Amino acid sequence: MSEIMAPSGRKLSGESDRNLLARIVGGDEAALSELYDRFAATLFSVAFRVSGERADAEEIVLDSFAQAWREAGKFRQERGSVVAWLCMICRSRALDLVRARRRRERLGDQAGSGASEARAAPAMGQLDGADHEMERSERCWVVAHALQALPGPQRQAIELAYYEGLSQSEIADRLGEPLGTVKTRVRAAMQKLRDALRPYYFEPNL
Amino acid sequence: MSEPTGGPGRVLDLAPGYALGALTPEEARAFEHELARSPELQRELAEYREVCALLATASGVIPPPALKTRLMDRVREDKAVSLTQRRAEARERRRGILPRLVVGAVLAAAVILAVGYRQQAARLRASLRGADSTLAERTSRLAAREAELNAILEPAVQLVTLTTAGTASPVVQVFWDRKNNVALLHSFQLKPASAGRAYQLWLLPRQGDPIASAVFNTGADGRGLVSGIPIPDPRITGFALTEEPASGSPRPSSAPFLVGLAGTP
Repeated sequence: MSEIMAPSGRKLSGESDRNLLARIVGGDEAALSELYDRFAATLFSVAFRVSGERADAEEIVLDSFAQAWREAGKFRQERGSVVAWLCMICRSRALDLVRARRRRERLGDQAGSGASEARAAPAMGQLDGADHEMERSERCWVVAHALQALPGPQRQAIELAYYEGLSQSEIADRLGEPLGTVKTRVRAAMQKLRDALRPYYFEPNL
Repeated sequence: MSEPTGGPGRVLDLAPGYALGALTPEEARAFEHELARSPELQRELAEYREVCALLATASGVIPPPALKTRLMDRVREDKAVSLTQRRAEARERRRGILPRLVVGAVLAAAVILAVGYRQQAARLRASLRGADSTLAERTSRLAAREAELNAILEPAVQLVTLTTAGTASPVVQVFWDRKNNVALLHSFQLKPASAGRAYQLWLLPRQGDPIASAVFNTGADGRGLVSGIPIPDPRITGFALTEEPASGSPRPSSAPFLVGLAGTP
């Protein structure tokens, strides 16, 4: 018995992400609910990876979707997909939180610090669709392996930039490497990731 | 135009760093200056932003279910507040007097539009009736497929991944429902078997020979899906994949090229 998955199997409904966002502009809660179902795991993943705390990650995801609800009209489709826009909001909020926490720590206030929780295992029963789960699982595997396939210094540069929010100059300082070297690594790594991940874009028409 | 980064080619090189938010403020400004007028740069940036979004998926954590309830509660509160504000603004507006001429013109235009819309609505209704029957058929097919696939959402399901090294290497994921002794196989990056051949899944028992299981093939996109695979022995230790004749084999005819160990549940 064999059956081929539809390439568009990701969608929980057939409606495009952009349509959902257009409905959100009109105040449609059901559209927000579906957008959440589609991308909450992705946003939670980046919020948790950046912040290192589940409780913080929850607040970041909550704030990110609330911001998307308020500012859906600001989305510009020529600048990328809906999920890329949501991830930018989420990552930016997560990095802000981490930077604020670092500032507090530097001031000797330990209120924002704490031991990181162990990474939670994916609980499949909490997702809304089997298609969604299979695609998430596939994407997770492919991205992790694309990162793993990068030369160590390139992977390190990407991780410092993406998950710690460091600029290329800060990465150069942190690693004691020339700025030009870091820029070359970042660019080369992103080009390799783009080539490896193109079949897995959330927005296939890019 | 000032071109502090050395021309359009160099600006293009800034796209990965810009998407990551890792440029200096000067570089970011130079990039944004060019971005506004360059569709090529916009496409390039859209791709790198997609890469950034994908980087977010590298860890497998998921949010607790209660988070969605909190979001929807917050949004309803925002909506209520904003509705109150809008009503107050509307009351303010009503205090102004609209010129009667404008009102008349708007009403006349509305009548013309209504006639046009009625004709258009009749055409749309006819086209909808045709679409309805196609939709009903597709909905029924989708419901059947969904029922099959939902098996992987059971709490007792364990995911076993069969793979080799390399990013473009084939991957087979087996969602093993230990409670109901069935599994679902999902493959990607697995090119179709050669003519007259197929792929065969093998169950690896703790002791003894591999147990023959599902025979399948993939589509041109490298994807394949097999549901309802019986797992007769709950003590199996893993899964393996070989290429066999299209009808399958009672025992593997070659060494498996993909293996995944189940471990303990």
